[in-house]
Order: sequence, then structure tokens, then C-alpha cells
Amino acid sequence: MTAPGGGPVLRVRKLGVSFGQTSLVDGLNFDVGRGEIVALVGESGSGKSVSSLAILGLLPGADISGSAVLHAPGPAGDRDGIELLGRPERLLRPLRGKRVSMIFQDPMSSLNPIRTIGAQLREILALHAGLDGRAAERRAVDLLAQVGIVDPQGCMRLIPQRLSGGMRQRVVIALAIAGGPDLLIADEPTTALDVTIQAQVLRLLLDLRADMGMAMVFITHNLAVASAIADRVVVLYAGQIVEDAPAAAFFAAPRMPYSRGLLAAAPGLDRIASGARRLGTLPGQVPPPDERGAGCRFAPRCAWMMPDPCARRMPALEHVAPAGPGGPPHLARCARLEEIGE
Amino acid sequence: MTGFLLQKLGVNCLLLVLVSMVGFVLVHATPGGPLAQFALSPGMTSARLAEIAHGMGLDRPLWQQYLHWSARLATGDWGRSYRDQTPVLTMIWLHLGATAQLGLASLILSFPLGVALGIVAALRAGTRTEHLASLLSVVLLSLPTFWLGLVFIYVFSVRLGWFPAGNLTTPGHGAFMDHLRHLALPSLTLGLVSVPLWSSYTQAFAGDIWRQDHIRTARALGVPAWRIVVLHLLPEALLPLIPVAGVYLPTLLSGALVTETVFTWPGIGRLLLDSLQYRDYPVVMGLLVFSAALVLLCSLVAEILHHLCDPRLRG
Repeated sequence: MTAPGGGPVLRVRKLGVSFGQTSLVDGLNFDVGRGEIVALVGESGSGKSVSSLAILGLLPGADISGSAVLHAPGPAGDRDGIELLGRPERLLRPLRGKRVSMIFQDPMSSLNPIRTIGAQLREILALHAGLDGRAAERRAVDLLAQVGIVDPQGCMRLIPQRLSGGMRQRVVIALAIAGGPDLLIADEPTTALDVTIQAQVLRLLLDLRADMGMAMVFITHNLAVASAIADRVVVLYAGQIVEDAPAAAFFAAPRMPYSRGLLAAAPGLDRIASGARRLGTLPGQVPPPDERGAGCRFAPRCAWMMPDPCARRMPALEHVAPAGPGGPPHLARCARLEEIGE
Repeated sequence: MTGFLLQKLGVNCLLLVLVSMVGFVLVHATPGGPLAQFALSPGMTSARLAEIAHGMGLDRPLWQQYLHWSARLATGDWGRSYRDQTPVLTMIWLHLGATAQLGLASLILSFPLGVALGIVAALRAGTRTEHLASLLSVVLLSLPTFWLGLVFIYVFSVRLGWFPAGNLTTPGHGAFMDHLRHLALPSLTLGLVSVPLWSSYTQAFAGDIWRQDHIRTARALGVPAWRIVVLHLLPEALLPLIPVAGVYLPTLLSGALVTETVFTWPGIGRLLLDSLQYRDYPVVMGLLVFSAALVLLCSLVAEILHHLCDPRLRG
């Protein structure tokens, strides 16, 4: 999905996030191509949200290392991209909402409860699109229509309390795309919604990608949601990437034992259809940051675990199969990749 | 809303009756009585004293006295002061202006200061700045008003001679500026001791809002920090302060008592204290009913105002 002549929209290298002595995330590498939707998948505490908040400079008090380069078109630093990490707030702030937007899980609390939808949209439009007065009003109504609000004009005058959860998340998305960002980071945007509304919002995000060519980092713990929207799946476990694969390859044949376990533990209709009633379960839980050993972090829960090498050495994130030139890579972190096979 | 208001109004009237009853009993139960001042007059006899008591209706049972007093109150007759026969309402009215000035001046000082302090403490939660702001609040809260007033008099009046130590005006200097200079020290005293009230409520409200998702969303969409504080956080934090103000403002009337005494400020607080010393029952009871009515009225008005200002509460 890489545009001709352009690099990825976001290139993250060796991203590390720690609070004091506690390291939450380390050595994160991933790219997001133009118009690509990357799902960051993992259990709570795997470091999904922390990583994306760190990239946007929204994690006060954290020690952040590594690099996150935003390649955005524009006169400033086009060739080299814009380094987000360590960028001073006064330079980072104008990028947020304009080049990169982020939306959050709970649409019930993501909007200002005492300002009208119109006021909130006009604020972002004035900030990032230089629009005010009539022009801002028209653009705001257009945006609401674009995200599928049925009565955009009427909606402008309402406060969030008058809208349903799904409507609110649509308004949040309208706010996020108002500045025309190249990248949208969506942190569990459908988790708090009913299943039918979930599907609508996913549909909307896919439409917006098609219309605007906007890339997305889609954070979720729900593999069914990831399979519905992602071009690529990046699995996080205990602050590390353990698998990074094209969505089709991932859902056909996940390679890292943790990914297999996740997939086996996910309830799905195909499972019901095939008559298998029992869900697989992953024994144990994600080790907290201060109880991570020297070996593979998944080893204590892994069915394929061997004392040597699993518990001794941290396996590297390696190519699963020799990818053809230009073909999408499939990476997994497991010392026994070959022995376990597909 | 109308039904709610009517119900509230009914409850308030009942409360008012209850307060006046309890107050009446308590005031009359205090040792001593209004007869003491007559008793010391030369040539006073016990027969003459009984005659005076009978004239004032003090020899009747308490419940009769209450009925008599409250029936007249209901018709708008608040009675007359035992001391100089001035109608009670006139007396209250004459002292209300001074207290209102003092209350308003101290509010102008304490409200912005307290809100600012509370916001800063909420934004800098967990840092040294918050601890400093909290410390300042605690210090102001624990300063005895009379002591602070005396310190101000000593420093600014006695030592530096910048401001007068008491009274409304200097006789012969009726000018506006002179009046303001007299207002300075008492309003500074009352203002400073009221700061912790506003700062603690503001810190609690603003702290809650600051941790909410919509603040984080605004930040994630590139809204500048000052806009988030001034346009997003502040209005939402001020809304719940309206009912707080509704409860607090009328208590200024009696809360200013110490300040008014230290600075010989002829307000409601002073009037109450003097009337209590004389056992001037009509004035004391008048002030009691007046304050109670004011408390109930202010909280009602605040409630209405809160409903009008907060779009979430509009049906």
C-alpha cells in the first residue's frame, strides 16, 4: 500500500517506554504504509495504548526512547520526515489533529459534555483548517454527513448527551478527520459499542480510508474486529512485538504460539458452524513488567516451551518464510519456529 | 422544573418555621434576659420590673410568646428593638449594606484567587506545585480570622499607617476613596480566609474533569493547552461551583461576624452580636429568620441558575 515515491506514513523504530525503573514497552519496530490499516493486537497490559500515546507525546512522565518518524507531505522536512519522539510540545501540538489524530475507546466520555457538537467541530476546524464563520459551519455539517450522521444540521446544536454511543463515536471520528490527517490512531474505537454499531463504525473507517487515503493504527484486543479491518496485524505481548504479518497470512496461519493461542481463544461463528463448542484457553496471564525473565516472555504459558532455548534466550523477531522481493514480510518471535511449523 | 421548584419552595417554608421555633426556644433559653438592663437602673423595684416584663409579654408561657411573635411576623410586623424601639426590619436594612459591601469585596478577592489556586493544584496533581498550593490552602484555612485581622491592623494600620483599622468612614471624609480604604483590611481578611473554600472545591471538580477522556481527546486533536484549560476545563469546573456559592454566600452574613467585630464594621454580624448581648429578642429572632430565609432563597436561586447554565440539566 505504499504510494509511489513515498515511504511509510509512520516508521517506528526501537520504541521504548518506561516509567522510572519499570519498562512497559521495548524495541518496538513497525511501519504503517500510506492508506494502510495496521491492527495492534494484544491483551490488556501488552503496551498497545502506551505505545501510541507515547508516539503522540501524550504520556507525561514517561521515559521514551527510540524513534517514530512521520512522513507527511508538505514543505517542512518532507524527505527526512518528522521525528515525533522528543519533539517539543509547541512543535508537536500543531501536528496532532492535523497530521495524526487519535481517538479513544469510550465515546460516552470522549466529547466535551457541555459544548455543542457544532462548537467542538468549529474549534478543530478553526485550529487545523483555518475555517471560521459560515465556511466552518458548512464544513462541519459536511463532516457530520460524511461520518453518517443522519441530521447533521440538527446534530450541530446538540450536546453529546443527546446522542447514542454510536453517534458519539461518529462525531469523535468527524473531529479526528476534520484536520485531514494522514494517520489516525484508533484506540479500541469499537470496544464500547454494541455489535451492530461496531460493524457500522468499522465500515465507516474503511470508507474513510478509501475516500481520504488515510492510514490507520487500529488498536484492539478483539481478533474478529482486527480481521474485519486490518491489512496487517501486529501482535504485542508483554511490551514486545511477537508477530507482524499480513492479515490474510496471519489469520490463515499464525506462527508464534501466542498468536495461535489468541486465535484459538477467540469465539467466532466459524467455530460454531464447525461444531467445535469448546474455546481454547491460554493458561496463566501476561507477566507484569517487573517479572519479565531473560528468555521468551511467553515461555511460562507456552505449550511448546523447552527449557533450552526458550527460557534462556530472548528469541529475535525473524522472517517466517523467505519473502519474495517486495512481498509483504511475515515476522514472528519464536526460537522453535521451524520445529513447530505451521 | 416548575413542579420541582414548587415542592422545593414548600419544603423551604416548612424548614423556615422549624428554624424559627428552635431558634425561639434557644434564644429564650439563654441565661439572662432583656430585663437585666432595666434591673440596674437606680430605684428599680421588683414590682416595676414585673410590670415591664408584663408590658413586653415576657411573663406569658413561651409557646404563647412564639405564637404571638410569629403571627405578627406573618403579617409583616417584625417587631421593635428592645433597645431603642427601632423597627427590626429597619435595623437589619441599615446594617445590611455594610455587610453586603464587605461580602462582595471579599468575594471579588477570594473567588478568582481560590479558583486559580484550585485549577493550578488540579493540573499539577502529584507535583511540588500541588503540595505548595495545598499547603497554602491549609494555612489560610487554619488561620483564625480574628488573629489575621489583628495582624493586619498591627502591620498595615499601626506600623505602616496605610489603611484605617476600623469603621466605615473617617468622620468628615465622606469621599468614595476614603470608604474604599476602610474596606481594604476587613475585606482582605475575610477574602483570604475564604480562599480555601473556593480552591478546595475547584481542585476537586477540576481534578475530576482533567482526568476525563474528553480532555485527552482535545489534546490528541491538537487543541492548545491554554484553550483546553480556559474553554474546556474552566466552564465545566465552574458549573458545580454555582450551588456551592448558593450555600456559601448567605453564610457570609454571619461568617463576617468575627471580621466585623475586629474591624468595628457596622454590619449584620455586629448587629447580631450586640443584640445577643442585650438579649434583644426581637432583633435576634429577626436576624435568625432573615438569615434562614436568605440561605434557603440563595440555594433555590443557585439551583435555578445551575439548571439554566448547565446544558446537561436542561430537560
